[in-house]
Amino acid sequence: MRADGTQQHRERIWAALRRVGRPDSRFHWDFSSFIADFAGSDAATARILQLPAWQQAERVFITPDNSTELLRREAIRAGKTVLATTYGIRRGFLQLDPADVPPHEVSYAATLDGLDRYATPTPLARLRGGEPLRLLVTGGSAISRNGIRFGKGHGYFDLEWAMLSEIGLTTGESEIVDIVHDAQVVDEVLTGEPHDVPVDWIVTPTRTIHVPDHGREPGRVRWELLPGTEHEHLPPIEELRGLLAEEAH
Amino acid sequence: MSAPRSQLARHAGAPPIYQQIAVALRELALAHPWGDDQPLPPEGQLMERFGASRGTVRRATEELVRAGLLRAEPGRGTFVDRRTQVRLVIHDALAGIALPDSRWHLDVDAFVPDFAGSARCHELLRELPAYHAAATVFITPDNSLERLRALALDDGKTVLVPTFGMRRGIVALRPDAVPPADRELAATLDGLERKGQRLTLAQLTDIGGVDLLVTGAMAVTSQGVHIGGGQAYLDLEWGILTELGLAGQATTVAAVVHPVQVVDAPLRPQRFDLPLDTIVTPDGVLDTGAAFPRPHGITWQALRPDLVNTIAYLAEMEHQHHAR
Repeated sequence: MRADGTQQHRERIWAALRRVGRPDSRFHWDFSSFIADFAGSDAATARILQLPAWQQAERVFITPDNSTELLRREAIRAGKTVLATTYGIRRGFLQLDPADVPPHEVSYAATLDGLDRYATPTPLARLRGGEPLRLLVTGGSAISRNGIRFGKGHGYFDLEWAMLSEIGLTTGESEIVDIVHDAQVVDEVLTGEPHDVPVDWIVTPTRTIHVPDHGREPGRVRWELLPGTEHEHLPPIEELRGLLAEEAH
Repeated sequence: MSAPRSQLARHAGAPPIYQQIAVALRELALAHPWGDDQPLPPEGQLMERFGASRGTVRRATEELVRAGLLRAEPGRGTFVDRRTQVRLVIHDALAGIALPDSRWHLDVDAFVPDFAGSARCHELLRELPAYHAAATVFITPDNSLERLRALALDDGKTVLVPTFGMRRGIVALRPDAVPPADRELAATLDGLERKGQRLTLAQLTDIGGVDLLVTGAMAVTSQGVHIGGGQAYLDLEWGILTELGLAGQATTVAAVVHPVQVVDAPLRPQRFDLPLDTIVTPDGVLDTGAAFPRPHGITWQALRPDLVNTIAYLAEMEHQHHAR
């Protein structure tokens, strides 16, 4: 746990989400277990569609949050490939080819249940060497003015960014968007930890906030921190370990 | 029973002997024939088999008693708890057939998984006279029943689905409110959140009646005992429906399961268990003979107090119950 009180922020924001957030089909109001959709996520989604990075991207990485469901729907409609992880990265990465989704099932495919139905499990070996991502979108529990996000507290997005970087899918041109409710923006400058991945854009139903000079470095998996954590034996982590060992030979 | 002496690892770094014995005893208990009422071998035999002291064997046994798999009856011996045995055996068998959930993955203690062949079950279920006659069908939020919800809407039925764990009440899907293009989505748990109507207690009461209840299971016995994931949601759902007068003797109760989930164990239902009339697997439809009586209503004195505050409707119903 950090010393700067992110846990207090998180709890205050969960209280706010009881008013503006939407429950999950499995976890109900347990905001420690999922990233909630919120009132106004349609307006926030519409703001993302205005970003140049969205318009230029043929493929978008979108985290499996409820707040990003509408954006997945827009991606499928726009013919963009959706790269995602399964919930908690437990079954690795999925890729959704919009051509696989019948027109009347677009809304279905955009849900987490639908992703499981229409997307294809995709190992890192198949993603490696592909066109780098122009845009990555994630939801979060809370985010500071300087783009430091704190999600469910599991560090999934930081790890996703690290893995995607390790296989060459991120560059200095990659932009990260955090979609949140206004109540989730903490008007403070937080000091990030080395594994924190600052974002370029904070998008809410009412604001599009650009974060300049965040000083983000290319991601890398911090292998020394993994032993004993829930991340240690995730399938893509196991796979990446093997891929990097092969490369080292 | 004369079995060869078990080899236990005694080198440095091996797990404690009592834990190794507990693992061996667990295997022995899980392999115990369904129809066999005999106790496990007595302590003396186990001491000899494992080459361990009475205290060590007892410690292993006590661990499995705490886990609910064994039951020690003074003067008679140590018996296998059949219900726990069934649950554990089928839990292991599900590993080979379960399809993952979008949140729970393959943690089948947390949810009832879909399996290859569920579509055939839905076909068979739709041929049942009770299905044809039903106007309102209650379908539990199990993944094996996902497509059935969409088909029931296509068949013109009102579909009632409890939210996961009954935390936020029961949701209604009505064929006139959910257009055909939305039904595949509406049938999923995520879709239910968007396309269904969450019922207040008054709205639920106004539904009038449930003609058919369809559930998944962790396991079922061929005599119609339903074994859930350990959380007894079905029994609570049935309790609420019958307390409100929405279900009763005229309601058909059917389970959709994979053949590996059907066991021949001679179990009897516990006090609040809802027995099954019909079991549907991809191989066919089994009529259980409905040999067991059905529970009715909510026994307020027996209800765990924490459930009143976590399960929808119960607090309001209890209030009304005491006001009467």
